[in-house]
Amino acid sequence: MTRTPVAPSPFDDAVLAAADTVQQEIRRDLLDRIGREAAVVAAAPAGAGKSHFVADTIGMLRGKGHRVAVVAPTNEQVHSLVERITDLHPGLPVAFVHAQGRDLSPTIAARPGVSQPSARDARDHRESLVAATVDKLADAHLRDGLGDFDVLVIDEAYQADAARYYTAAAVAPTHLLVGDSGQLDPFSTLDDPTFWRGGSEDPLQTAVGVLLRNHPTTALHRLPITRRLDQRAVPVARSFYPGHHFDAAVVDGARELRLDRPGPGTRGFATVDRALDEAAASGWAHVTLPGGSVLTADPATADLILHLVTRLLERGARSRYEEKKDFHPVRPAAIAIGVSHNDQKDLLRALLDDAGLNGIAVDTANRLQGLTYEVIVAWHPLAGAAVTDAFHLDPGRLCVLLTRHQQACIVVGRDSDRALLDGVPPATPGYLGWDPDPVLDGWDAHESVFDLLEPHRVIA
Amino acid sequence: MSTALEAFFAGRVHEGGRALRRTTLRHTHLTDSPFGIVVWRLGGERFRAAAVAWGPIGGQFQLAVAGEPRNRDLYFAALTPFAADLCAAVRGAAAHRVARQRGSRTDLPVNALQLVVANRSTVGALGLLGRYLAYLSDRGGVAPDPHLLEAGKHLRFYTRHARVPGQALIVPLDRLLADHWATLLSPLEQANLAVLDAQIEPPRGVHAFDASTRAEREAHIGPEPTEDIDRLTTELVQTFNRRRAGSVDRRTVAPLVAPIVEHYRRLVEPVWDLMARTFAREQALPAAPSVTRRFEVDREAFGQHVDWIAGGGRYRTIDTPRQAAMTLRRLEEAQSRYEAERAIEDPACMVPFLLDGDAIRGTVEKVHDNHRTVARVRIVQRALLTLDTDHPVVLPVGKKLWWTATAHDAPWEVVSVSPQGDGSRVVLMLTTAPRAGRLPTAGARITLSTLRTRSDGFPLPLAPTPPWTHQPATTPPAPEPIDAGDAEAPLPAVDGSAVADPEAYR
Repeated sequence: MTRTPVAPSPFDDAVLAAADTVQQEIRRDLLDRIGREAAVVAAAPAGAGKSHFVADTIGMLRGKGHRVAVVAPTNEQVHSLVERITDLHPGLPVAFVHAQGRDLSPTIAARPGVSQPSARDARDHRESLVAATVDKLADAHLRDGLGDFDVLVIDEAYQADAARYYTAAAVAPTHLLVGDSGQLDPFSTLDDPTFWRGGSEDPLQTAVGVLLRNHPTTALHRLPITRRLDQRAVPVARSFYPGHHFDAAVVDGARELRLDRPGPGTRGFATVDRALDEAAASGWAHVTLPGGSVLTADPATADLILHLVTRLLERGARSRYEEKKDFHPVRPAAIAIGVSHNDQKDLLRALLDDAGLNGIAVDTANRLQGLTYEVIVAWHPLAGAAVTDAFHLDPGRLCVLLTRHQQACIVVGRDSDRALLDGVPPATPGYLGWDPDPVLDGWDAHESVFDLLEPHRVIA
Repeated sequence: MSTALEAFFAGRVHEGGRALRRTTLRHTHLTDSPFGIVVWRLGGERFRAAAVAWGPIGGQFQLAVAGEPRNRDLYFAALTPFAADLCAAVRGAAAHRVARQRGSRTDLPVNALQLVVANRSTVGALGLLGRYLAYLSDRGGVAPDPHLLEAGKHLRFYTRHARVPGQALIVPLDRLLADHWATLLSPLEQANLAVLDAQIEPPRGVHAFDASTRAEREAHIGPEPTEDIDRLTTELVQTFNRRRAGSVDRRTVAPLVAPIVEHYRRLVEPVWDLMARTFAREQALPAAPSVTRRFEVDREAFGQHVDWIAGGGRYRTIDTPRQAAMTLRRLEEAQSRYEAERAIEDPACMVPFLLDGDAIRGTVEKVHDNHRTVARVRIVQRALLTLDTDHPVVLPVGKKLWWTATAHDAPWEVVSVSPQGDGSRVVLMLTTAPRAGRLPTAGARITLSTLRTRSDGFPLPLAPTPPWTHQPATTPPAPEPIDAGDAEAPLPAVDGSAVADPEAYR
């Protein structure tokens, strides 16, 4: 395994400087707008350090005495924000307003400055920094009158829909929307959620979408950096962000995944070992089982994934990266499995638990958004499918699955998956005033990703 | 829908040669006196109904044919009897009110007029017709027949209500059949009612596949004309226009339009019979208990609509962001409750959930109702349920499942899963205090699933004034009148946002 020698600094200074310039512009624009009904949008690729930027910006706003509400779509995301804010600004008062049973973990809750008041108490005490989910803040505003903030900060704003933004938007005149445009759009459980599509009233457009639709002159900044992904991962990631240029913050060779024990092991593990070696060497492996249409929760695919993660740990995976230059063992908690369906998740969860690997996370793409792991095993959305459809082609789903990792991503599918994209894509309905098309955009993104993964293909 | 179940049905239907029931119950309320409508469009003109047939399902239909539907006078003259009958039927159904189950208001209609159409395309066609008629402007100071505007509002209401999952105010028969029957047809093929019917009741000795192939070749359902129908229609309309020589006089036109009426009568008759037959077949199936609840929701919406129209209310052409957001929430709640009610009441509808790992079924081995555990900081009493399933199940610890008998209440949480005989032994813990009615008895056969019939909390209505983010920075251009494409220049349409009393618009 030959790798470029590690540069004196693990970071690409030009990329960092470009990102810093954009971040300063965002903060300047935001401060210029405070007190007015105006917003600033910060669009970022996967792993751009949005949460860090949000936490840092909140500290800056609080330092200037502004009352701030910070929201994200899910509780897990808000928990993470509270953690990040208190990491960066120890002791800064943060009031986490939450629904029943959604408390912070005891370790975060015990940090100085962190409180978990009721909405009414947060209102009565005029908490200066409130964190909540978009839904909870909206409910607290309608039910208890929590509001009157100077700035509303929305993290994961491309995941929040216009309907949820409707109420939350009223808590402050000035907004900062930060999000990743490549991730999954808001979704609905309805069979046909297209009734309003293309209209400015569409409740399922993103928070950023409704804002830019009604206020097209809103300041929009694009962060030109990904801190999570390294240079090996960036070409794949770019497939999901057409028109948005970005580079990796770390230079080539700054990260390394090493398997202490050599493969291949027994004959049964030969494929698994080849896949792990390929992933360790190049950051990618695309393992394909024999072609064919299979059930969504295919036991063979689940078994292969289980073997991959078991063997990864057995072979003594160790890694180093820019912040930890010495090799350290890859723990189960640094590994995640990304899937598209809950039945895939349940099957894998049960298999992992039986194997004593309950530290390994397994979740659907929707719930992995915003999270980072060292190694990801991604169950390809098209794996063993008989036909393609909008759900499985959605570029956002593939983007989430393939952009969570710092070291390596192992994609598991079937030989026949690529053939699903043979020929021309299907005709799809068009909507005036609505540009994205999950089927056609997904078709392009999937083709591009299959091409990029081809050199890393391991046939099972 | 479970892939495994679909594969099973495809194999069985192919083997047996006819469609199979997906359900043991009927999950749509079907009334005793539904109002049937059949529409045929003019090829290339999606916004005009070339023919409309209406009447009681199972009875005789009336037929409105304009001859030249692109002529406003002829079009309106032909549609007015249909509009008047529809308005009378709606008002008649809404005339008698009863008290609601909850509260003291007595504004719930005893019944609601149920519209029955052949397919979802007809719902779309009626929606366009309703949208056109509901917003007609005066022409040279002459107002269109008020029945046309009122019927337009009714059609607009019905076709928008069609989006509510599980509703029964407007029943497209293709969906009704596809919901209740497993066939060999793709979703696109299922849009043809005759093809569906051919697979459900193929002629004796004919395989469902062959029967539906023949039906696909021979049957025309509408509202879109096929090429051969359109060619014939074009010839007839051209002859009609030549002979009327620009006249719109009823006495002159009536005899000339007869060949076109006859043309459409021949098209409507088989569809009308087919609708009656398929409706009666589904009506014979016992109704699921929850259809009554869902039709009460329909009746409530119907009553509110009729009251709004009677009070001179108008509807916006486009929802406000607030309306759209609240409607989305309402529809999603209706969807999840409908799915849950279907599966809980009908064992056949629970099968896909069992196959997909979203439900488990087995025998209660033991119930321990005095288990103590720590919830946050307190020791609380909980119940533990040990269930032996018939087949091995894959369930992660911590997964929440609702017992079908208490699907409106608190869930059970999976504590452990272990092999037991041919199946699994699943231990679950109730997530709330064990009380009578919440606990099954030992030896009982029960089902637990991810389905529940009550959502979390009661969301509040959104603020009437949208935030600045949801309002356009600049005023949008004035809307074009809805009938701007007509020959004569219409009067300007009313801009709802500019009227003195915006509350007049819902």
